[in-house]
Amino acid sequence: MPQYGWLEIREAGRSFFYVAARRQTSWLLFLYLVAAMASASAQTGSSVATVETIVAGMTQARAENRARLRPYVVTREYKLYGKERQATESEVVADVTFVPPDSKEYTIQQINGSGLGKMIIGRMLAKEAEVTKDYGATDISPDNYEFRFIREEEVSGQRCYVLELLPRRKDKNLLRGNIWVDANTYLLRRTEGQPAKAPSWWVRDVRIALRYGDVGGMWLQTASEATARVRILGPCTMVSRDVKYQITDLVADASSAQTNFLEPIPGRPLRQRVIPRLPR
Amino acid sequence: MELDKALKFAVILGWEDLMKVSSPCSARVEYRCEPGASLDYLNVWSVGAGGKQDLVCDYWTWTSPAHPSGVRFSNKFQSDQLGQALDFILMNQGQFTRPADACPEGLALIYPPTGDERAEAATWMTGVHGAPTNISRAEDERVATPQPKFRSAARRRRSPVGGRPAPIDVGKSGS
Repeated sequence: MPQYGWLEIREAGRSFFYVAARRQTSWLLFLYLVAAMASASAQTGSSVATVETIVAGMTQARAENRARLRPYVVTREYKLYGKERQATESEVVADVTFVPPDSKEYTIQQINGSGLGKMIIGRMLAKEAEVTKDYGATDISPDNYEFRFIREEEVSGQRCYVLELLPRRKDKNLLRGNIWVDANTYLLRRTEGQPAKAPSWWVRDVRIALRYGDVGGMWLQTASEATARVRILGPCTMVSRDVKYQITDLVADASSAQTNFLEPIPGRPLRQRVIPRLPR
Repeated sequence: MELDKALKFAVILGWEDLMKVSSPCSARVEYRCEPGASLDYLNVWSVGAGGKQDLVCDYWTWTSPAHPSGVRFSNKFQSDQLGQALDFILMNQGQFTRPADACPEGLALIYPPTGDERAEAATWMTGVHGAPTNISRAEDERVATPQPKFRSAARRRRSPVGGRPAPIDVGKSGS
C-alpha cells in the first residue's frame, strides 16, 4: 500500500508540474503572438516602413523606370562659379544623347568664359557616359550600398523616406550620403553626398546634390549641384539644369522618326509642355 | 596637301554661311588623330568677339546608336559648302598629310579670310572636280543597324554603284 501511496503522490506531482508548465508555455505563446501582431500592424497599417521594404520598393521602381526609358537628347546648361557666387566663371551648354539601354554620348554646343569650363564639363560628361555603360556598378542598389532609415520628410509636398547611403566599397563613383525616396512611387527625389573615394588629389571636400523629375513619363536626373575645393583655384561650384528634351521614337525607318520637345516651366513637371507631333 | 590647310579651306568656303548666324572673330577646327589611325571625328567652332564659342558642326565618319555619320550642324548654322568640303576631306584622308611629329590633338585656326584666301580655297575646291574622289556615305561601309533619327545630317552624295566617284558640286558662293 505505501508503495501505491507513494506512486499516487508521485503521479499527482508530475501532473501538477505538467499542468503548470503547459500554462506557462501558453502564456509565452500568447505574448509572442501579441508581439508579432503588433509588429505586423506596424509594418502594414502605419506609415513606418522598414528599410528592407523601402529598398525593395525602390529597386522595383527603378527597374520599372529603366524599362520605360526611350531615346532622348537633353540640352543641359552648366554654370561654373569660383569664389564669387554672383558671377559665373564659365557657362557651357551640352547636348547629351541617351539611347537605351546604356549608350550615352555628349556634344558641347556652346562655351562662354574660361576654357577651364569646357575641360571640366567635358570630363564630367565623359565620366557620365562611362558610368551609364556600367550601370550596375554604380546603381543605388543593395549590391553597392547598405541603407539605414533616418527619418521621414516632405520634399516639394511629397512624403519621402530619407535613407543613409553607405557604400560597400571605396569607389569614386559611389556616394556616401542620403537619398530621399518618394513614399508613394519609391522613386528617388533627391540624392546628396560625397564620393566614397576622393576623385583626384586636386579636388577635395566634394559635395554633390542631384534632383530628379518626370520627363515625358521617364524619371530622370534633371538638375545637379556640386561644390569642391580645388587646390590652387579654391572653392568651386558647378550647377547644371536640363533646359530642353527631345524624345525620339526608335523606329526601323529613321526617316519617319518623330520627336517631342519638352521645355521646363518653373514649378511644373516637364511633361506638361509636350508639343504634339506634327503630321509629316 | 596638309590636313590642317584643307580644313582651313573648308571653313573659308563656308565663311559666308557662318556670318549669317554670327560674326565670328575666328573659327577653329578641333580633332584627334593618333599617328597611323584615320580621323573619325572633328568639330568646327565659331568664336565671337566676347569670347563666346558656338559649335558650328561636328562630323563623324561612323554611325553609333547616338549619332549619325556625316556632318551635323548645330546652333542654327547650315552650310552646304562646308558640309561638302568636310565630306571630301574625311572620305579622302589619304590625300592629306600631317607632320610626323604632330600632336594627336589637332587644331586649325581660321581668321576672317581675305579675298585672296577665298579665291585660293575656291580654286582648291574646283580642283577637286577633276580629281578622283570618294564621297560615298560613310555609313554604307558600316554594318547597318536600325538607328533613331536625330538632327538632320547634311545632304551627301552617293557614289554610283561600282564605286565610281561622283563629282562634287562646289556651288556658287564662297569664291
